[in-house]
Amino acid sequence: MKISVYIAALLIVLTLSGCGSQPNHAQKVSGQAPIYPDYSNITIPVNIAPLNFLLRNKPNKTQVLLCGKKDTLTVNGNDKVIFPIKEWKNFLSVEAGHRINVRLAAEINGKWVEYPPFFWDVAPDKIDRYVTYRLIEPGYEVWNSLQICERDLENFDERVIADNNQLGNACMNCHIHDNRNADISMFHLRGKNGGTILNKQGKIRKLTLKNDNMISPAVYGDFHPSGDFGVFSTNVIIPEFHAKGNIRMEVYDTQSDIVVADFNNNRMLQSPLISATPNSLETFPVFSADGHYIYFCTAQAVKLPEQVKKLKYSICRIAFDAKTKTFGNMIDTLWNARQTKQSACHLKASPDGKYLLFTVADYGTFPIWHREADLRLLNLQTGKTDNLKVVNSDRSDTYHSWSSNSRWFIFASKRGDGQYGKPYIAYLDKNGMAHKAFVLPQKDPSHYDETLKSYNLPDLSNNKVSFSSSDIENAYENMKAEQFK
Amino acid sequence: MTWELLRNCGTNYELSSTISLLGGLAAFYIFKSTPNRIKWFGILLIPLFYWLFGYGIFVFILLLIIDQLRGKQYIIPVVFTITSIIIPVATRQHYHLTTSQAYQYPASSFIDKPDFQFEKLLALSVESSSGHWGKVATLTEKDPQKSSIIAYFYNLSHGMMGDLPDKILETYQPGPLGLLIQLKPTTPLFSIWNSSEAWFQLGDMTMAEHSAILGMIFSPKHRSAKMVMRLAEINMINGDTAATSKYLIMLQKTWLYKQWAQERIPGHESEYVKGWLKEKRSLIPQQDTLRAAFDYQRSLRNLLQTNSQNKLACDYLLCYDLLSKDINAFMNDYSLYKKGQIPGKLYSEALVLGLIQKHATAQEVQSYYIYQKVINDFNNYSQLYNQAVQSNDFGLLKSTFGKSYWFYYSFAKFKQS
Repeated sequence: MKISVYIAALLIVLTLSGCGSQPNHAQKVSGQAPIYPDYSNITIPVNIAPLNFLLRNKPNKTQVLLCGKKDTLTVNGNDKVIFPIKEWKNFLSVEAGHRINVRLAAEINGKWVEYPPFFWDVAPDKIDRYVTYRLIEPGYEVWNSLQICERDLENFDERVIADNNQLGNACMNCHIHDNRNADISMFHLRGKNGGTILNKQGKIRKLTLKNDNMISPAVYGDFHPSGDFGVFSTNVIIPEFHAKGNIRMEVYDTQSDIVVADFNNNRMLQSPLISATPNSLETFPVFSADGHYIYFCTAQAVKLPEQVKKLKYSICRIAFDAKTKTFGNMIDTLWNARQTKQSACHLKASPDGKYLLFTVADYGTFPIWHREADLRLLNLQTGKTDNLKVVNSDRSDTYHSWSSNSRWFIFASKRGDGQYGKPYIAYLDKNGMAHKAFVLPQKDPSHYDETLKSYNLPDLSNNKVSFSSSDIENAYENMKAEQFK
Repeated sequence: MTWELLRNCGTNYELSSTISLLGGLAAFYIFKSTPNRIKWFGILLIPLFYWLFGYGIFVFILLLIIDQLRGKQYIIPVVFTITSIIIPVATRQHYHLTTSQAYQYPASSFIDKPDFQFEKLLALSVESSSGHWGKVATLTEKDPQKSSIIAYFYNLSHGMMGDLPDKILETYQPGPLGLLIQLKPTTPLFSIWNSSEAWFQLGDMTMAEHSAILGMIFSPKHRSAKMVMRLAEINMINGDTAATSKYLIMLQKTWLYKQWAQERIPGHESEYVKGWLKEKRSLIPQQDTLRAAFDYQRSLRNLLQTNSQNKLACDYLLCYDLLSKDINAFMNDYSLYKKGQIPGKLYSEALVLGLIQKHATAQEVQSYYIYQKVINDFNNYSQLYNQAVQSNDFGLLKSTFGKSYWFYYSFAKFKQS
């Protein structure tokens, strides 16, 4: 007993001295540490992979001291700080719900300096363990190498679940899960043997989601919570180039409608209110969390491209009954573009049914190259919209998805270099308050400096998809696409 | 050795393919040095060799077959060969390779040889990137082959030297495709690589960036230092410091381009770079508009609306109109951007054609300052043309007026890219 008290006392002393100990004679400096990525003062999920970072001023040595409420962790590095994964996991699990103070010292030109500390709040709410994204060079119209990857957020494992090198270099659209469940997921595979790849418990189907009433094959889509239906837009998409160099590209629809695919009966369901509407454009449909509504974006048709800046989309909804496979007979407007003078796109309903996360831009439907594109959070209960100031940046922030517990969302942001989309994660606490976003950590913190790929449409799921790239190759080469009526 | 040397000449050659070859040779050396009684264990190493050296295992197998057959051993070569054939197919999913790629990875081609025509194209690419337009012009003028890419460099070099209208019909022209390269799935990699050069010199940074990104995308392993440098330059001109830094950080990590990148760090540019930036920024469009990727005339007009002194853009626009045989567009564009100046031979010839087509009055003709000689020449051309049509002999017409715009307008057929 006496010995254990001594040990406990010794541990306390060591812990306290650990929190206080930094390299001797380190000179305190006032400026923020030049760390990349910017992991200062953020809220992180308890199950996130180590937040490895580097210092832009290339010190010879660094020492990082993580001081939690119950534990400490010291890591030494050079210009890169790499946390050992096992110790990191243990540390975070002990500090769940606590604030970690990060003390950073660096040796520059033989002298140690200590930067002002910053903090990491460890939220006990977990983020879904997996995220899929499409890796693509940010070309404007043409692609070459495309991969859909699945990343484990608890470590740095990444696996390729579809690679167009094996698919005749065909274009692949982004992969989405049904309600964050990787047992049901889909993506569009283009090319001569293409089709929509529908995965249900690892059983792959290839579908031609197009009938004679549709203006194009299915484009933007989402699953009904049951997994039996998908809602899609069908669009005539025109890509054009801006003349001003830093605006780059615009993509707009000259026609668009919304359809629902009945996956069990291979039928497309349509409503005259949202299909075959020549004077209006409807796109980016998603189901509500309970599946009783379809949220979508709609705008009055304007003369294009001349009036592209007048192309502003509102957010509306129409009821959908999965049992009778029928649509409601009225459309509600939830967010009016005329009042806000902005344009909405990329809707995502939170799993708890409380929020609708979406992107706003000055106009149009292609926020990737719109610097001003930002996320907005519409509270479906109060109708109030949060501008998520703490989350957004001065570059495009879009392509988002929710975690199962509605506490986290991940999105693609072009902040930093302005060119390449990177997955950022943000916390929404129980009071609906958003916290500063941080970029998905990588094993090598210089990864984002060196990659020439954009991360498209990061989509969270709580389990691994049950197919592999060989299944997709087989579907592309050998499977006949099922027709829809 | 000869085989490997020839492969080194391939444009997609990678050092790793030579290492694979050496690995295969080393594997055979190890096998040869192994006592006979344990040679069978070599079969277990085949997956390891494939993992380490890719296609190098086939070099190993080839040497093994020769060696074993000389010793009249048949079982080992058969079993080892079958194993080597199975391994790439069995493991290709792990590397996301197609079957044919799995058998030659990391080499991209088994056989190559020097391609002196391609060497010349590379020289054109390097000289144009360095701004040695005189050299580019000389190299293209001497070239006997009629191709869009040679015409592209020829036109660009003369455009940069300011004598494009005087020179454009002195060589083969594949219609307007010799001025700006269309980016399509069938466009050869080399053309994609160089397609940004004309847009960059013209001042259209959106199109230059589009081309440069595609050049990068279609480069081997999707990486090209030349394209990264170009993207850095484009973003410097656009004033996009964040994007510039992304590319410069990448280049700073290289041995060859570190210094180049250092001189361009935003806020720390060298005096030369500052002067270059000022000049380039004077060309970029100030007003925004939307245009389709292939709407080159609109792009060029937009450049001229920003800077009517952009001579390259003006010559490109007027030459594009003429090579497209779009006389109406030429007349409009000439009136907007060139009228009031004494026209050179090409523009005079086109103006005569345009003015006749619109039944212009004598007063209107006078307002274009066309030399009387050109009008007389056109009368001669018309006479010879009628005679040639009647006799079906175009020899005299061609020898007299083969380099005139009238001849081009009458006889040129567009080549599809």
